[in-house]
Amino acid sequence: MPLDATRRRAAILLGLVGLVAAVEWIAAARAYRSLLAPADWDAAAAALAALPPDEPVVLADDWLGPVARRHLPALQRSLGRPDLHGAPRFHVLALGEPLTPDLRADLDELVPEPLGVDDLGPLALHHFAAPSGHVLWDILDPPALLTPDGAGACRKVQRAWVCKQGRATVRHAEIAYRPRRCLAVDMNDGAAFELRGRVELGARLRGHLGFSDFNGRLRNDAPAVLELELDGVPRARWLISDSQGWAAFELATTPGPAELTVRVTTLLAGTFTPGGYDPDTRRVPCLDLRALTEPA
Amino acid sequence: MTRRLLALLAVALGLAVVLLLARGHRDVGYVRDEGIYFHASRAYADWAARGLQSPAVLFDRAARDRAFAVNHEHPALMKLAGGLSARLFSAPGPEGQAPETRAHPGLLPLMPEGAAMRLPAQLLAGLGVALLFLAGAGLARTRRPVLGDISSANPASRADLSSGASKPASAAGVPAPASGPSAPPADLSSETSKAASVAPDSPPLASPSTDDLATALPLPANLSLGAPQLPSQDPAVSLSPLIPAVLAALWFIGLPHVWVHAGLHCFDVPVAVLTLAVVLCYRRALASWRWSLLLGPLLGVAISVKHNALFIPVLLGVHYLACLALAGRRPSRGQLLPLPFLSMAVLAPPTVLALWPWLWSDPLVRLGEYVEFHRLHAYYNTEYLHINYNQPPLPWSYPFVLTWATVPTALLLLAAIGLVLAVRKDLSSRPSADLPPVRFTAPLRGHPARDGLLWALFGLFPLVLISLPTIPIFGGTKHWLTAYPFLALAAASAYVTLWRALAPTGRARHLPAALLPLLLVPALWSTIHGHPYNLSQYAPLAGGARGAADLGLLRGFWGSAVLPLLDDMSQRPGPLYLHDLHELARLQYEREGRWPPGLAAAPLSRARAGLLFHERHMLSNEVDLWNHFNNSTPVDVLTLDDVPLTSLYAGSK
Repeated sequence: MPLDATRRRAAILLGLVGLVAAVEWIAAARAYRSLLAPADWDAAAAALAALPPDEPVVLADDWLGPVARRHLPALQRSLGRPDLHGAPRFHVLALGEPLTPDLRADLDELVPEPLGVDDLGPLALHHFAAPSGHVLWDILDPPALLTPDGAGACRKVQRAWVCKQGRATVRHAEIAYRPRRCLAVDMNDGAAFELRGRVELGARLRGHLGFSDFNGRLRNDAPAVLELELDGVPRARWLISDSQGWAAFELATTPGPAELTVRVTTLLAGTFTPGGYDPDTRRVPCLDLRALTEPA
Repeated sequence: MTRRLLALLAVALGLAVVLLLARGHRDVGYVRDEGIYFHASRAYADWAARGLQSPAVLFDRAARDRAFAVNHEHPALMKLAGGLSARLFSAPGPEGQAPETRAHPGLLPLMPEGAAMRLPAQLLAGLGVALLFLAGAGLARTRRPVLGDISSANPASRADLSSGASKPASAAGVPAPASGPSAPPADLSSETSKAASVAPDSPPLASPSTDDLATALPLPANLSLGAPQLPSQDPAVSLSPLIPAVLAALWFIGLPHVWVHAGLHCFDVPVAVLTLAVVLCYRRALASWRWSLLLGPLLGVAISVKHNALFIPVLLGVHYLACLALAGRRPSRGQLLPLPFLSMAVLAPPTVLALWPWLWSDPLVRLGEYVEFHRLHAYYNTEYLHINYNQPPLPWSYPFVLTWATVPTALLLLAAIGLVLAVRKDLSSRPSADLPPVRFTAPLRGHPARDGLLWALFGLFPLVLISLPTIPIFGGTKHWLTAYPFLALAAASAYVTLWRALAPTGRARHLPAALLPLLLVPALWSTIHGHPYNLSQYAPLAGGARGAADLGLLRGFWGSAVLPLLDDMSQRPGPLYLHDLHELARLQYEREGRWPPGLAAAPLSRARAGLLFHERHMLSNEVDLWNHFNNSTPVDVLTLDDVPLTSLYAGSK
């Protein structure tokens, strides 16, 4: 018996609802279980152990980080990496798509070349090459930290500079909701922190500056000033605000040794609250700077 | 199915829900807000107990203010109930602890103090399930399409719901409904006989009862999809009232985010249940002075639970005005000053005042503070599609996408169909021409119920409100749980309507019952699997917790996912950085002997171990832990389907 219009419409709507529900059963069976067994982590650990230790390995799925770091100590090497420049080869451990928007942002105009994939069960280890040079010098590496200028205004204590106007520390910081390892320059309002020293330069100086943390960024938009001098000549000056996130900057350089001066001036480091300006709740600029060679 | 059996089933289902919540939520950690509510509950109950012993205490302003100053930004009712429940049912805390850090035994020590304080909210959740069951069962009826009790005596008043025109049923070629053999026994109610024996505009003789709630939101007869009507009393299209009853009840309580909030000593599910209760009462009050007199105090109770209820009379006013406008006739004087609204205006405020002793002194000033607190509410951090929002405007799509991501799509689709069909019918139906004169005590007696408009108003308003760009950012789904009971009823209505229209015969007539699990299992699966971390659970099509992490939706909040870490924490050297676990929640564990003995809390600068509850903006705290311990590897991680919820860090410091 053919269905009349009412019954046909009812049948279509009920069928649609039933079909969606049936799809939800399948989706539930896929979603409501753990994907990663200990054996999968063991396989990933073995694969990572076989990689050259100087090639970065990054995790595509940020949210998996705490669990992944428990099983894969090798991931700590690249935790807080400023970007994927300076790494001609890198590796991505992923549950799904390897080049997530975050990793594409870290590539910043570099076009990676896929070299292969190791299937590790639910996880996969993707290998890439990128047309990037090597790192010659890194402001965060202990031997390369520059001597402070200012005749004793700052003194070095382990991985920090303690100054009359504040301190600068190499540490991890949350910037734009991603972890970065950088030089956190926590100085009084208007005070400058300056480093100077002789370094080996490549084709460019590349760095980033961002502000930590999210609460401070919410209630203070004042920029910081970053200045670079080479052999006593001012070469670059940037005004960077927190709306730029982890703001990248580059300066073309002539390869060879040079006297480099880095100066970061914090204009306002406190926080504006309904009660007024609170200088004790800090918003700290954090700096990364490396000298890179031309791509091979 | 008799009305009594339905009522018994509703009570049984409600009690089952209460029992499951009471037992199951012992595995759900104490959330941040509960910490302060526990503290407030003890203060309030202590005041009440002293007041019982010496009534003069009740009128001692200093003593009263001292007790109720704690957490006075929320009404006191649920906290007072929780505190009194603890005095009744709390088991004593461990021996050897100082009295102020140890739970005191109640009169009938059955459960931990925190569980006892959660009990009133869980009872309200059970009540909500029972109400939805009864209201859902009412949707299977084909009778009572109009408000009040004259409809069943007046078949001509049944509107033709197919074309939008108001016509007597017979004119549309539809057989006049009759109390045929297929009509559920519930339809043979006393109201039918009452209607025949009393004047149409007389108030009903029965007082409000559970029984009446079963008919509180009935489905109008044979809601059509636009084609010729099927006989509404055709035996083939009769549906068991259990089907919409079960669908409505489980649509609501079966959702992971409803379930997790239903068991907490908080206000979100209680205010959702009381909103439903007020709306059911209002619907009866439109044709009954007795329900009208109940409506005002009931609204007062709802407002005394949480401020969401302040919107209820506004929405009811919109519904009432829509009913008057759609009636197509000049309102009478009685309709312009209706008793239900008079009752809400006159009886709700004193009820609120009576139930919130903080307001007994300087009520206007303190009410002003209360309004200002919520008007200028601090912005929460919430992650939405990989962006952390902590200042307005939140994207308007936020509550809608979050609802999709946490409620199975088939259930939402059914609710949407129900809303469309019911609103379309409501907008087209007119009262019959021979309506008796109305009184202000029963201002819409004999009018179409227009339940679809009620469901749409109460089911959509909370989401629309949160989506407004100027609304403070409050956070997660709990802020629009008040919508869900009405979406549940709309879904149940759609299910009934569609199967009636399809009119299956033979063995196929069992399909409506047989296919019900197809709809409900994804939600129940999600909730059972997600327990006790349902705050972080997501619907199947969103991919569950893993899918939500990929989509960049908020992971959780409130620092409650911690209980399985307690063992590990007990083996770590203290002190412990608590992160988002509120110190008062920690104290509650301690009062019950659940906190590792000797493990003190400390700021991170002095901590030797630390908790981290994962949220996008909490990364800031996580890197602080890495820096402090010089180590980014947690010693333990609590997960839901591989997604980290809470990490425990420790160092050698």
